[in-house]
Amino acid sequence: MRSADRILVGWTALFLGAWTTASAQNAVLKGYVRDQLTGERIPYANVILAGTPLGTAANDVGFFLIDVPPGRYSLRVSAVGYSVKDSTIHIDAVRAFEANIALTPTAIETDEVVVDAHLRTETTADQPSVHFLERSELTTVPATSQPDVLQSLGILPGVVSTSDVSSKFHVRGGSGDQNLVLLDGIKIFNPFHALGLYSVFDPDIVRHVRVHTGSFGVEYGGRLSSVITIQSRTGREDRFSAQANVNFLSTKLQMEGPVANHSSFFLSARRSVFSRTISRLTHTNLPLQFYDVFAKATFESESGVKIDILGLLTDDRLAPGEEDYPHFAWSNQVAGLTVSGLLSDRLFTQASVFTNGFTHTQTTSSAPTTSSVAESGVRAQATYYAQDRSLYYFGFEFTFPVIEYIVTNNLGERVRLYSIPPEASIWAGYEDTFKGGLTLSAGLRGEVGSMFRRGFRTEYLQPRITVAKSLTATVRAKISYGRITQNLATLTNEDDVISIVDPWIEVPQYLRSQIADHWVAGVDWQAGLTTAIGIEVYAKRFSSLLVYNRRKVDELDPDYISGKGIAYGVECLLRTNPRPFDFSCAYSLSWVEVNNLGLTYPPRYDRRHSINVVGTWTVSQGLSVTARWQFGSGFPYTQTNGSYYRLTLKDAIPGPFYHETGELFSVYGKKNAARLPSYHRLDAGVSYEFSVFGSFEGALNITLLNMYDNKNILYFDRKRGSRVDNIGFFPSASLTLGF
Amino acid sequence: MFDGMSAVTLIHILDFRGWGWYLSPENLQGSRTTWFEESHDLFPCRLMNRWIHGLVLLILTLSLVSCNQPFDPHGPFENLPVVFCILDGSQDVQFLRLYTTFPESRETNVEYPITGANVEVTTPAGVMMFRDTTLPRVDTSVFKSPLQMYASPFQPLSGQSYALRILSPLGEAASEITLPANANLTIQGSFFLQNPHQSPEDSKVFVLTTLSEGAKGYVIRLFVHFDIISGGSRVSHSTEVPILIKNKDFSTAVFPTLRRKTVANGFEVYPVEFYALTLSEIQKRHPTGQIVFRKAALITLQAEENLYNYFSIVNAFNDRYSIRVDEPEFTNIIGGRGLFGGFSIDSLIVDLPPNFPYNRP
Repeated sequence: MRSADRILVGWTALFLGAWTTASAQNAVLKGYVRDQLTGERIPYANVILAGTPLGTAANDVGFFLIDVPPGRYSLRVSAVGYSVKDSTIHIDAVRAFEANIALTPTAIETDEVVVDAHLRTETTADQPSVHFLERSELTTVPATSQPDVLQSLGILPGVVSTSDVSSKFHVRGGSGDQNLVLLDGIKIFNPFHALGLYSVFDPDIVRHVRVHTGSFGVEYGGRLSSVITIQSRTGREDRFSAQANVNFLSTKLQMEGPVANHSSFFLSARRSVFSRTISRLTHTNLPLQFYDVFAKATFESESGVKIDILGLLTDDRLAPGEEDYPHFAWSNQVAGLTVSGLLSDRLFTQASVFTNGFTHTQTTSSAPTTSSVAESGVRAQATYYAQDRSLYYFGFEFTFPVIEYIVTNNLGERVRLYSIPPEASIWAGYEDTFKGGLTLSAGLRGEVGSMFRRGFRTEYLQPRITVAKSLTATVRAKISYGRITQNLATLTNEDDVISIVDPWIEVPQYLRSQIADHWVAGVDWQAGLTTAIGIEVYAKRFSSLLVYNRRKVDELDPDYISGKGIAYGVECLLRTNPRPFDFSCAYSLSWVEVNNLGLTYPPRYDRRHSINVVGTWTVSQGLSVTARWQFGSGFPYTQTNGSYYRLTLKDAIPGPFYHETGELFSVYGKKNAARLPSYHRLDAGVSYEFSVFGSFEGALNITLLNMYDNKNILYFDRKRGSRVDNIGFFPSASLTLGF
Repeated sequence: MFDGMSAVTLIHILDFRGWGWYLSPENLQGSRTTWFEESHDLFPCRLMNRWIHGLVLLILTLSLVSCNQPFDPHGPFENLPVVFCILDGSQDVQFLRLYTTFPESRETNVEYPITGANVEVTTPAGVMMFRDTTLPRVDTSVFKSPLQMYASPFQPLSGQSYALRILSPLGEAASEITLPANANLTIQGSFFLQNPHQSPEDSKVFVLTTLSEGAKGYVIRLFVHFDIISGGSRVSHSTEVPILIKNKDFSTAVFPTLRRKTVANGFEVYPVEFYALTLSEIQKRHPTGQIVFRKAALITLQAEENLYNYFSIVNAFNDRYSIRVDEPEFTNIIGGRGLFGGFSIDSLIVDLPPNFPYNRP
């Protein structure tokens, strides 16, 4: 029997065995968790029956289901930003008890003692390497002029950004294109605005961000290093509300409100105002423009079936006025429809149809460079809540991205790459809790599209397994393994410090898919009600990576080959929030190495030490002060050891080669063998919320970036012989008014 | 993909060093007083007081220690000899350029030749010494000074090995190559070369060559040799025949380039139409004087491995379909940079008849 067959049979047996272990019947406690004010569902709320080991976390649309023996219980529900809700319930035998729970935002009832559900969620989650970021956290992290979702990820351990002018990030030694960014389950191929300064996600459209930095579940695939699931907000069901915001870089209008019973809309539009603010202040042309529009409508039936329709449009223009500089334009068009609800008593389903497109044009004096990805697809996942409290989940996703890239190459020839790789996958998983607090989560993902496209290989059957065990009442250990493949990659010159837009291509079919194996082990310690400490070690082996063919000589040699790589490290995260303070400290120690045909080197984003400290002091209701200090050891770079004039021999085959002047060429040292100076800076922000004329609410945010004006090098311009630093001391402010 | 301009612009714009007054003690003091007055809880006030003082101290401390960390992108300068020498099997004098690398801080419009070095090539016939030579510079767009060269009067032989050794104040540099052995050229359609006007439409000249094992790349080229006789003087010229001309426009002519040897034989195809267009183009370019076409010369140039690799890599991998943007370096000089390469040339001559129709009396 081949090894692949053995794996398949083994996993099938595991599932069948697990399925047949159903135990005696219990009553069912199920329902949704909502915001008491807006009616919005609250994802990942903790639902526990106090005094018992029974409990669960609501799913991403606020649904929960617990099998409980008949009896009287104290039901305790908590979620980040909400007061804990305690209620007593009496459950009869063999009966479904529906509990729709409304939580009150803590901003309304500040006197109430709140168990930090955030800490509880992260430390009790059975999956390691998962981080949760609420909208409130996204908006408090000081950022350039206005908060940003993807820039805020930098406070998490294992997440590295290579510059201040980029939202692009690298997770645990992965390249920038190895991050799967999902907006309500829809892939966003280029989630960045101009220069990556902002992402296309305004924090105010975000309900919740879940970040998987390693060994993610079977429902995710196609990207080797991380999954960022961004769940958008739904509109308020209680009343109409509008909000306007203006800051140095952009202005925004946001509206939401009810449409009919249990239905709402949400609309947010943002546009850059560079040319009217900073450009006038500094008399400098800042040739950036962008806008984004997000719209969402939500309908919900009495039975809890929820339909979400969303759209996202983004557009960017970068048009330097100087000659010889190309003009860039790129846009995203996203639309999707999601239906979720209980298909039967115990089967919760979510199904989506979606379409998304990304186009990019780079115009120069010669022919333009264009790239695009257009994708339509369907995705469905079902979760079966078995009577023995185990979970079975299965799903599929089928998309067929149409990828095109047209460029004029270094020889002046027009090259067109066009492909329609099937991105189809199916998965099934199982999750159960055993005696002694042992939790097993195992699943198998099959990359069906890759099997059709590239032939069957064992790497397209991807086991994912996580085991978690409570060592004490407050300490939980986790260990996890997962294999992931990736067939799409961006065409970035790996030595570029900043790229404006990264075109996507399919990994050439003559190569293996990119493959990564993740191993993670960690311990979480809930050190009291308001403090949690987590330590994780990880290793990620890239057994196939798309790299330049460094032995390429001519057209008979491929541009790219499969390289190898490894990333490993340790991460520590401390979170504590003794009121009125909220404090987190993340430290990462990591190593990354890429092997290209025997040449090993650290990639440009290899950062050995990384520290992020964020503290928030809620001075009084509506007034908070946040400070963030970050430190990162230097990134690798390649030194130049001299120059010479290199001959091109264009007229020397045959001919007098010695008459040629040649072109100036730099002599480089060993690739990425040196390190830039370390990076550190302190940011602070003050947020003040106020009321005007009774019904109007406002928020004033003042942010001071790089308060001590540290000169953090971005790169050295070798052509001009000058150093380019990251952002220096930069004050900014934003004002929001709404009702 | 990105040249850094936009990032530079943005960063310069976001660099508000001049706004440092925001952190002046007066401002901080004023803020603190206001917050105290608004607060009714003394405990947070005390905390805030400590917090602010702590923050100010922290910022001051960090400001003091955050002086610019010096950064120099240059590693230790490697002062190395840069050698370019391509042994040409068709010439009886060989040339070598010898320069030094220079720091990036040095002027780039000045050459840094190494003179007085001991340059020798060990050939089958013995050691050939290269001597300092100065040649007039053809391209003076960057450098104005005459070309500093080394030259040696010998003709390399096909299939033979040659070892280069240079002793200079920068140390020893060395390399070794083997020239490809002779190729055999055959032609189908030589009649068309002699009688293009009698050729049927779409007729072609096929050139087949048997390549040597030592060749990594080759190119077959076709030249027309002719004389211009004017005022009693005769000047010889040659023009290469393209393999493709788009829309009968000679400016779109495509010529064969060095390509990799994949099998033992190489071939090239010359449509007679383009051969005839070349002859007409010669007539246009020399509107006066007598034109006498003498011969059509087919050559096979076989490049040894180093020359082929260098040429391809330097010229964007010689790959029309590549999307790579990097510029890797190739050198086979031990103890230096540059190239020591070579090629052999074999030719086949087709004499053109005296009554060649494109001759102009």
